[in-house]
Amino acid sequence: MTEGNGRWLGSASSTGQHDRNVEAVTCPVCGNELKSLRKLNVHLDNVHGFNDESASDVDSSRESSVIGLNTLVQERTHERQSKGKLKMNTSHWKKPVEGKSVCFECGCKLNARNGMINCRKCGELFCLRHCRNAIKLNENGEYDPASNVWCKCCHKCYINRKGYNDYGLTRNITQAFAKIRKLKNEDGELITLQLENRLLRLINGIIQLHVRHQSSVFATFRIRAGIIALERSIVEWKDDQMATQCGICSQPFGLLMRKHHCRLCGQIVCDRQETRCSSDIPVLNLMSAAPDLSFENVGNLKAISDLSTGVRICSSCLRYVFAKRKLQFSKALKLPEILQQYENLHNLETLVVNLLPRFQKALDSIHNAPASDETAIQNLAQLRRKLLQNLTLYDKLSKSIVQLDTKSTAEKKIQQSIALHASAFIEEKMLPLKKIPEILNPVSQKVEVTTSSDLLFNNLTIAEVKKYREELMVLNEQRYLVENMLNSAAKERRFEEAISLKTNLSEIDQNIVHLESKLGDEGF
Amino acid sequence: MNLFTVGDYYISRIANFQSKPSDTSIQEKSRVKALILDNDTLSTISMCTTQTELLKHEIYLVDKLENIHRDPMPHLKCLCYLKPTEDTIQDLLHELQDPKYGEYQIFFNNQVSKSQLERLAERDDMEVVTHVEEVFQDYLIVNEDVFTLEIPLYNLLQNQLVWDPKGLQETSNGLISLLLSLKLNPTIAYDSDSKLCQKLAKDLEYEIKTNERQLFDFPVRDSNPLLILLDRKSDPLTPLLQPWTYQSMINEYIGIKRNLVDLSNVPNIDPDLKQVVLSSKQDKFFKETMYMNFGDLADKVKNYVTQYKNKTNITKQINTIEDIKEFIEKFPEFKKLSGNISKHMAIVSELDRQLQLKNIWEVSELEQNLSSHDDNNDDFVELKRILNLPTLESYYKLKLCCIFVLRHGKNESRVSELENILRQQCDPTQISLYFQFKQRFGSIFNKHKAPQDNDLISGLTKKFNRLGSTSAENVFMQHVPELTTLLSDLDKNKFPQEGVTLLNQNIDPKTYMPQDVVILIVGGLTIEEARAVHQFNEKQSKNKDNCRVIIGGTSIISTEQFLTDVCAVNDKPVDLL
Ligand SMILES: [Zn+2]
Ligand SMILES: [Zn+2]
Ligand SMILES: [Zn+2]
Ligand SMILES: [Zn+2]
Ligand SMILES: [Zn+2]
Repeated sequence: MTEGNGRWLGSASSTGQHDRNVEAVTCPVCGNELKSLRKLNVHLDNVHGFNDESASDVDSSRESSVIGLNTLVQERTHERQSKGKLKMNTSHWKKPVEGKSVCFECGCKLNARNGMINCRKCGELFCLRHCRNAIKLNENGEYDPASNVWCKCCHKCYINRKGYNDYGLTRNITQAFAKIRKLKNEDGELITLQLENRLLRLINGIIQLHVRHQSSVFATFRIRAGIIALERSIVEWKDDQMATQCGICSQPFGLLMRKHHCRLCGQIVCDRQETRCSSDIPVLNLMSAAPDLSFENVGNLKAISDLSTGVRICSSCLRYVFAKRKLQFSKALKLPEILQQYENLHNLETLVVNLLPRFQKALDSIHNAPASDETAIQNLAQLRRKLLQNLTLYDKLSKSIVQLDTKSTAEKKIQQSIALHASAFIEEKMLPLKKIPEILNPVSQKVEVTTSSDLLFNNLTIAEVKKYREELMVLNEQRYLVENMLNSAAKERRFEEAISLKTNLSEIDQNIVHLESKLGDEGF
Repeated sequence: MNLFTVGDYYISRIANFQSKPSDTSIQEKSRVKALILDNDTLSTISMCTTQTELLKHEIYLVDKLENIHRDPMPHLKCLCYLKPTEDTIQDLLHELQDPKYGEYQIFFNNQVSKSQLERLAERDDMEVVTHVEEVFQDYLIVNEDVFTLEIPLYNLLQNQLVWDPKGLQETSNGLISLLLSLKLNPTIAYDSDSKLCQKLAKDLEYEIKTNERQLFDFPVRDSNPLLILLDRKSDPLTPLLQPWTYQSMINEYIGIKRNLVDLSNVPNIDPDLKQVVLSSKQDKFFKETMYMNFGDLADKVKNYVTQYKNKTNITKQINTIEDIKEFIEKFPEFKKLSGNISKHMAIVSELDRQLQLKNIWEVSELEQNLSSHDDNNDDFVELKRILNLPTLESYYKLKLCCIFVLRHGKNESRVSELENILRQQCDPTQISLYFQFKQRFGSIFNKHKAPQDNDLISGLTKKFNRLGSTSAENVFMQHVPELTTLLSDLDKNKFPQEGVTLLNQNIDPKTYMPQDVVILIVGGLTIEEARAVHQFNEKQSKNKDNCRVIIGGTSIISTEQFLTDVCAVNDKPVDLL
């Protein structure tokens, strides 16, 4: 094997010694066996398209297409460049140092066996295994999709190509939507204004008629006549004779399908129950459904109940005037109980989520500083207490949400979801807190206290009392947890689990009894 | 190119999009969100996320748009995730006419037409819609590298050679959305023997290069992504064979829909296990085992059980606080494990039951021999013996004959001998199905698989097995899908040497080095093929090689589905108008 016969070679001098040792090599790409590195290179170029030069390169130039694996070749490359045949700039390539260079990826020592190759893009040195991706580069070694030259590169350069890891196209068409909506709605808004105006005039007219005639003997008759005249003055009624079908549902009129005029648009419509093409709505209801319109004061009426007159309005006009109002009204209503409670639950959740990293930090700092720092420990204990308090509160609140009476299927579903979410949250956040007590109550502390005080409680030192109390607290917390698990396991009929949980519970109980007897009066 | 990543991205985008507050009026708003879906997006969502995930986004109410009995919840924001079909647009128009929620953010899983958008905008006179967006996920994610368009063959084709116009449109829409979701502007290649694929390729090219040019305006890549359209017709053998890997066996023997496995027909099944969820995304054990063959799977399940027992043993002796703490800490994991293990045990034992019941061991060995051996007397004698078994379901007899005629149809005397047996053993529908199958595939495949090719194929098989470092020689898995040939070429950084044609004649297949590849099989994908692709991807990513492949089908098929499809299309009345 001679120095020039393979781009995979390490340094020229070292290869000589390996002459006879070099055996068949395996192509890293397809696993085919090849007789020599030279063959491998030819194979890589031909079969796998690894051409560092344009495809037109002829075989004779291949030997020197070995771009810079050692200084010698680099010099050659330089010669080539000066002749203008090889264009690739290699100044950014790391120069191999014999016996010292390691693969930038795996750190292995680079030699003739594992190869020694520059990533054409970043210029770092790699072993064969870690410089096997193909990338198109321009003469400056920059990524250039338009280039015709495939070059070897490392995996990092490969995956960092623009667009390689891109995904998730979205297209926001809200603006287009809003533009069309605005265009179409402008007409609608005009119609609404017009109809509102008519409604106002009609209702105010009716009120005035009532006020004017309320003391008359012929009140009913006069008001009635007045309204008929008023209605005709608000809007021109469509000709009765011409209408053969309802203006909204298009059903033909007949004996059972009576014709009605909408008092706001004059259109002729039916009043079928099924379609509600029009309805006769009491004036008072209309007024309360649009409280923002400036209706006449009804205070001048002797009895408001006299104002029982109805106004017939078609469904189209109703929608124009009242639909948006209705929606705004319902949106402004107070949140249902369950949603209100959930806001509280969420706030608690945020509190816990914000506390946790602080707690973790405090914990880490104690772990990292072996010299126990009183204030740090106190701080940790305080944080933990706070967390547990909030979690208990959270648990309580979530349980009370689950107890709430729901007013609809939707609320019921939301309730179930909240219950699921809350139990998952507690399970996830509460458990890490269980690990702490021994750190909060290190042995060293106990020693300290014993020496400082001879006071004994039930033959226990203060430190022991403290320790047992702490343990008791943990046990009680855990008892509570296991009990909950047991309940849910029993409810979901996971009996196998329930049995093992039950044994657990009884063991915890035993421990509690044991501790309590030790503590005696100092129990709590 | 991980489809689950894409799915997650879209879901979190939908769940957390903050639109500018348009409404300045005083109103009470809840944090709680409602998610409204249609039939299509319900499938999409349920195959790439879980309720727990949705809860994390405060989506506490999920319902279907078509359900008109939904309660009004004016304080909630409503996220609509919908496929812009005519039905759904109609439902949405209804919804906007009388809005049940205070605010709507509408996400479509594919492009909305201008007229659809206009109709919606016109209807939204109350201005409840605060956001409209197109995301591109008009397909179902089966595994991280497998998708399906879920279009039954009956809707797909007019007859064997002609697309149903609607089916073509659906397929094209689905593929376009897939490409957009992966931000790929592909070079298209199609099955050289398939007019169907050529037509689809041309349609897609037109959509991409003209209609949707703006959307496909992605940065040019040095290796242009490749879209390969294959026709099921070109490999009718693979979908005929009984599969032996976990996911495909579930698909074959139990069925899986929207990640739900229905075990309700299993005798003595635990009521909790009547319907179980199975997803390679959430279930680690399944992810590890989905492509294992049944033997390896059984071992794995056994280990899983032991592991579980070890874990539960810890809890047996609880004396100290430490024990309790450890138990409590491990409890959620323990709980999950226990649920998961009973699920997999139930599935695996059901598979085992069916294998025994249906004589699959015997049938499959013969199937494999017929498909990978040259025509020989031993196999033929065995075939005749099995065809005459009184206990074997006639369906498998039909299938064996189809396999034989596909592989050795030239041996006319044997074929006619078989047909005589078949006439005694099968009912008329099955017999007619056999002849339809023979007519459709017999000639094509004979031509395709000339004897000298066999060596090449089996050579590739061996090579592929070595590359995939999968199980050793296995009588039940001798057959290797045709697709493997194509994958071997990709593995060598080559454009496939045969079988596919580039639509753009200006590209030189010799210098084109495809790196990101999407494959669609028109007429249905088998999970065995999905497995081949997955193993290819695993190998590529392990070696940090150049290539990534995503595969999908117009549907995911089982053997029975494939055979049913053969006559479904034949029976379709021709629409002369
Ligand atoms: Zn090779
Ligand atoms: Zn390396
Ligand atoms: Zn690099
Ligand atoms: Zn009507
Ligand atoms: Zn009207």
